[in-house]
Amino acid sequence: MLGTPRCEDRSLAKNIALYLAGLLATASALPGCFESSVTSNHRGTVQATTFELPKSTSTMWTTSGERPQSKPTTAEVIQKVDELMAAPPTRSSNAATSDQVAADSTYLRRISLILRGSIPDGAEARAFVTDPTPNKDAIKVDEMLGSAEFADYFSRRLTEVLLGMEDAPLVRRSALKLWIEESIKSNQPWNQIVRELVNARHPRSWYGPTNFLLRWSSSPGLMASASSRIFLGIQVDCAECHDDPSSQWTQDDFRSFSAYFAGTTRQKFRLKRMGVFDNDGLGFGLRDDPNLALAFDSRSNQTAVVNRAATRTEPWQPIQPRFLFSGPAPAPKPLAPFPSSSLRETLLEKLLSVGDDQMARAFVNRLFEMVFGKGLVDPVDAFSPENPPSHPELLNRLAEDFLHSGFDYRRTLRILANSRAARSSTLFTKWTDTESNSSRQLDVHQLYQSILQATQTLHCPDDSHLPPEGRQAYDRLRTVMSVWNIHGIDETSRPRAVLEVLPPEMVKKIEAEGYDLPVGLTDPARLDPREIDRLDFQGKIRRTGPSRQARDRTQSHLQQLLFVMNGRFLNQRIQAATLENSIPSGARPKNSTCDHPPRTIDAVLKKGSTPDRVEALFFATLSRPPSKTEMKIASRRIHSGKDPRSAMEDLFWSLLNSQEFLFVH
Amino acid sequence: MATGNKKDFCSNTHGGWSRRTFLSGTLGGLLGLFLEPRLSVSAGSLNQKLAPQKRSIIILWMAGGPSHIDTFDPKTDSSVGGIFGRIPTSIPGTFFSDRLPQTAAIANRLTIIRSLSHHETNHFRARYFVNTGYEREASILHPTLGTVTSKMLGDEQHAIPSHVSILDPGLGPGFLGDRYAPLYIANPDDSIPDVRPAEKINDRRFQSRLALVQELEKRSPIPAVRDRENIFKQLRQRTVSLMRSPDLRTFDLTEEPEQLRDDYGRNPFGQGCLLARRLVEAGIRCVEVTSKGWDTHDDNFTKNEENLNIFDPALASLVLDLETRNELESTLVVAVGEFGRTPEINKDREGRDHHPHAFSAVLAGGGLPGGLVLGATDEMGSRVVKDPITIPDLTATLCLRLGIDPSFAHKTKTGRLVRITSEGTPIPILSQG
Repeated sequence: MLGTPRCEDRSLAKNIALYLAGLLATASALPGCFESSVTSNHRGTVQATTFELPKSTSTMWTTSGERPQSKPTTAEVIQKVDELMAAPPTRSSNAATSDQVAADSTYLRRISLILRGSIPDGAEARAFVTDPTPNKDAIKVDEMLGSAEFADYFSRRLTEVLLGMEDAPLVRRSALKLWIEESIKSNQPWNQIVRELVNARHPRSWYGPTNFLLRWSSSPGLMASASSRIFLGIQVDCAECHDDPSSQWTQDDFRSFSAYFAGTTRQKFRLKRMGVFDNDGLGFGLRDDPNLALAFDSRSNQTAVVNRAATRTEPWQPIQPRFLFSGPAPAPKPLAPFPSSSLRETLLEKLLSVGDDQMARAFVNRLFEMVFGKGLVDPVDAFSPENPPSHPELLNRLAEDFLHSGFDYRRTLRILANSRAARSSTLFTKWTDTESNSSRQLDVHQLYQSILQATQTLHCPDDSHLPPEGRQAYDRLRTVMSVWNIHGIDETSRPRAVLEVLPPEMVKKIEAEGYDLPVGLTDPARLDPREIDRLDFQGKIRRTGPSRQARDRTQSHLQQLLFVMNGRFLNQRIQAATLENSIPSGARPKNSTCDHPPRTIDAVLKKGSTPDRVEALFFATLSRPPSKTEMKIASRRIHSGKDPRSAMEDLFWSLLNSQEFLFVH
Repeated sequence: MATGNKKDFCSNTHGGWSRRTFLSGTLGGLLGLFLEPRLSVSAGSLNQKLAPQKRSIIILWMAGGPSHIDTFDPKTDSSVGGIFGRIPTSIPGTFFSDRLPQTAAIANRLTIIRSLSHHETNHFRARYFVNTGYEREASILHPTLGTVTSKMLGDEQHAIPSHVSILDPGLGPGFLGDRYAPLYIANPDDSIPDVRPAEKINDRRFQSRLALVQELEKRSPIPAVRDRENIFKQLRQRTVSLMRSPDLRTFDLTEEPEQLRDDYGRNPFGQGCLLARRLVEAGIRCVEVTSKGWDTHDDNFTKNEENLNIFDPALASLVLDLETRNELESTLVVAVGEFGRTPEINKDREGRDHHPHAFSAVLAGGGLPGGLVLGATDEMGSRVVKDPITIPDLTATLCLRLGIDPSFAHKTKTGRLVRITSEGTPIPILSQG
């Protein structure tokens, strides 16, 4: 069914493949490149080494036949994953790649960036290196997965996946981000999150999950392609304009899938001025109109959303909603009466039953990409027979475990982060090779957070442009938003209902101070000085490199590098406070934690000896002690200058602008 | 100094119409034939017709969608004309809005297209279509014409990237990748943001900081960091070269005569156009300058009065300036927005709303003869009634004038071959010479 393997294209992560390649069961296959053959597809069949998206029914389980009866432990899965990853590469001249365990400091920095979106604190790095506990790695991974930073970083990444990187004025990114963050904190599994995204229980954009479909709501086709791409990893929309020979999907598949969204439209709300929300008097949301259907116009050869009644007359042929894995299209017939449950409800049922295998595969593939920088299927949203996974058995095994664990992404990340591959020193060292280079640059969140972490300015954003009351207003609004997110309160009863669920002291405060916020501030993120600072940073990084696709690169355009090297953002954070650039205290919000801890540079300058200072800066930036040579170079530099402060600043700048700091390795 | 960055920066491998590039285009085409029948390439015939010349392009992007009726397609005889009058231009029998006196005087250097149309009423989707030549799909982001131009024609010898976007960062490089993203200039009176070392850091201190990084990296315990030729090092090398480059003078508008700066208009757009001319002169292949404020749902005439006061002298000065300097032939100028605006003036707000069913674009230079008016709208300016021209046609035409094969196919990450434009055919009358 598939053509000859295209090895030159399939060389997956050159970096990962060398190490992982051996798992391929077909002995003749080259790393990252394997043969496929026709597969039978019904739930439970056995097949090795082949991969195809099932067209008629839904199974992917290719290794073990029956699904296991009891859930394997994490340790068992890790062992299996290690086996799959560690088999010696077949037929590769690079087989000499040895499996050296990375230094503790390297491992800590790596998983911290991957799981928390930031380098570790200098003190944490120091403590970890000297910690004698034998299973400290596993303990650290668990600690990270339970941290607020994980929920924050993971929700930012997921929000970008769901909404894309482009500006989308209709949606409230922060509402979705907050909702996901709360879902992660409360351990909501992925399928539950998807349930709410596809069929949000509240239609307004203030309710986080609504924003997903709202973002793509300009046509049923767009909603369909976004859903299949994001949840199933399938780009079905190539079939939009023609039957794409490189894809197994037909125009008919695409249209029928789109028909699930026929009644879903965007709705504009004009509101009475109600206080906290919608100060601009405008809001957007979704509406399901049971009278609408998707139909095909045989004259113009186009689809359109029409009134259901119209589909009984020429030239319209109604399009029956049909899920992607549901076999060949039935003959056209008049649409059944509108089902009592909404179309999206029906879709959801299909997605979570018929489509759950593929949903699991697609998501573990994304998780794999988060950890290793590249998906087993790459790009992550392009599963197709033409683009098979580099390591099908591994993907299957991970997906199987994910599915059986009830879509527990923490478990999958735990497995990946504890795998031997994640600890290997050789695994990440290929990142300077041409293309794979860019995949391991810090993403925009990692870079932002890591600079704040390294300079210890985490709690101290440049907020001089924010009115002092902004901070309080934000806290208030954020609380209300959380309530709103959790309970999905109807906005007509909002003020009263909100007051009912808030703690009494908050109610008292709101009654005293009112809901009013500065006009035009419809997005609470714009009230948070930390978020403003972050948005400003993201804007500067992104506006010059906005490919806005799967990842957000931070070092691929010279203007980005100019910003990091010469911009105020980094430079003001590395200057010692004694150099008259501390934030004026009047501009700080009350209760600010800006005074603790001291900025790195100030703390370092308090240390007496040069070696202590150098070591502190190395831990703060590179999460490791300097080598002897590095110590010599740095010390010489510090002693050659007249002014120890500026010498330390120069060293700090140099470390922050080093390739080692700017990359995940 | 890094020398091995050919594949990384504004690659010139596919530029122009040399024999080699023609062959590679055909090769792409054959591959396309294999994968997808629709991609059969007909570049050969085009190649023979037009002796290709590589040119630069200046795109004046009229963001928000300018009213065609209030600019290049006046309808003063009709009820929809509004309060603006019309004036004769240097093309006999052709009229512009009377708010475009300077442009009217140089109209014989321009090509006026009055018959553009499409179906997108949403700003973003319409802009995407006009900028890339493709309607927005969910699974692919197409590169803008500016990105394509800089990729195919750019010259890596320049310290300044070959695509500069002034007053708006633009839609981006799409699947071509970040390295083709434009350099963004937010304020034409300033140089490139952060191109100088940070405050209080003099050049000497910057150099010593840089030397320290390099020394540390050279002795790094991590082998990959020691590698001096990797992509990151090349990028840093280019960045530092830019910081030191004498080409940065290009951004110094004070080198221009005061009178000329006045002529362009002492406002961001006017000065942006002047900067565009300087950049093109310095060898930059694509400069986009964004003019804002055309989304006139309210107070259409007050706003357009202001807009045109800025736009008219800037466009006219740019064309004349290029002509005076003998650079008009080698520079294609195009002014267009995402759509036109309704003939009807909404009563309550005195504004015009989005109208993609008929709108105008203006071209100058690039070897075009000038003095041509293509297409026409009905008496209300509501629909195209003569020689309709599609957005892909416009894209194909611009490519052709730039010396780029519009049927050239770029490869996406998944291996999909995507032509610069899939449906457009160059407007025949603009394809000669």
